[in-house]
Amino acid sequence: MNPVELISSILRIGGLVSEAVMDAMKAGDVSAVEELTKHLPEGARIEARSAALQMAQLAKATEALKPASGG
Amino acid sequence: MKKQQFLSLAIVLLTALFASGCPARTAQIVATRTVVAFGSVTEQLAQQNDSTYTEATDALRVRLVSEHGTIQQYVAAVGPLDAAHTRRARALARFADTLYDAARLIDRSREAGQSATSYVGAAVSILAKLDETISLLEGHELPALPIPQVVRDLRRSLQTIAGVPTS
Repeated sequence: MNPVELISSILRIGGLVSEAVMDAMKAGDVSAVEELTKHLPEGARIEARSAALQMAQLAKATEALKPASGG
Repeated sequence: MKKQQFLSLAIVLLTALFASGCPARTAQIVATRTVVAFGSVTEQLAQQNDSTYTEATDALRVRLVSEHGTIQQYVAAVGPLDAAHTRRARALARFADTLYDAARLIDRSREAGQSATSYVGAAVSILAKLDETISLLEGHELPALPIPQVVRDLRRSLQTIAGVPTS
């Protein structure tokens, strides 16, 4: 495999992992997001990790600020 | 005799390869170390960006819980924090490349010596990219992140090449 093919395949893998990260984020699966982001290139990993953190913080706030049921 | 000639030729070729290949290999190792070092600087800043966001959003949630606030209030208040966090993350995702470009330019201009003036334009351009990211690390919606010393040193060197006053 020549360097151009190698780089192309890495970018393709990065793209597939990015899509999987987006799917896991939509499903609210934080552990899957964390696991998948380990396989992204550094720059994409930083962006994906920060997006996952925002999602996790929103989930915590949704739970903590849930209106009291009944009464 | 033929074997001896072949061995002599091989030794000459190996000597030539060694003489020309060693500096290139050394340069490659230095460049690789630089990339690894800048990768760790970027990762450290990215982790600090995530920590400040976590602290700010934890504090917001705790305050709203104590005030019997709603998730709608949280979503409205967290918007600017999310935007600042995302802007920083995007900038940091490209930061290692900018730092590496800066280091390469500084090395080249040092090698060039007196003819380093040809690097002024490139230095100004990289300095602008560097300053754009540094400005995002300053505190606005989220607390400021400390600028690592290696970044300050690179910036000062770029300013010298670009001919702008160092700060």
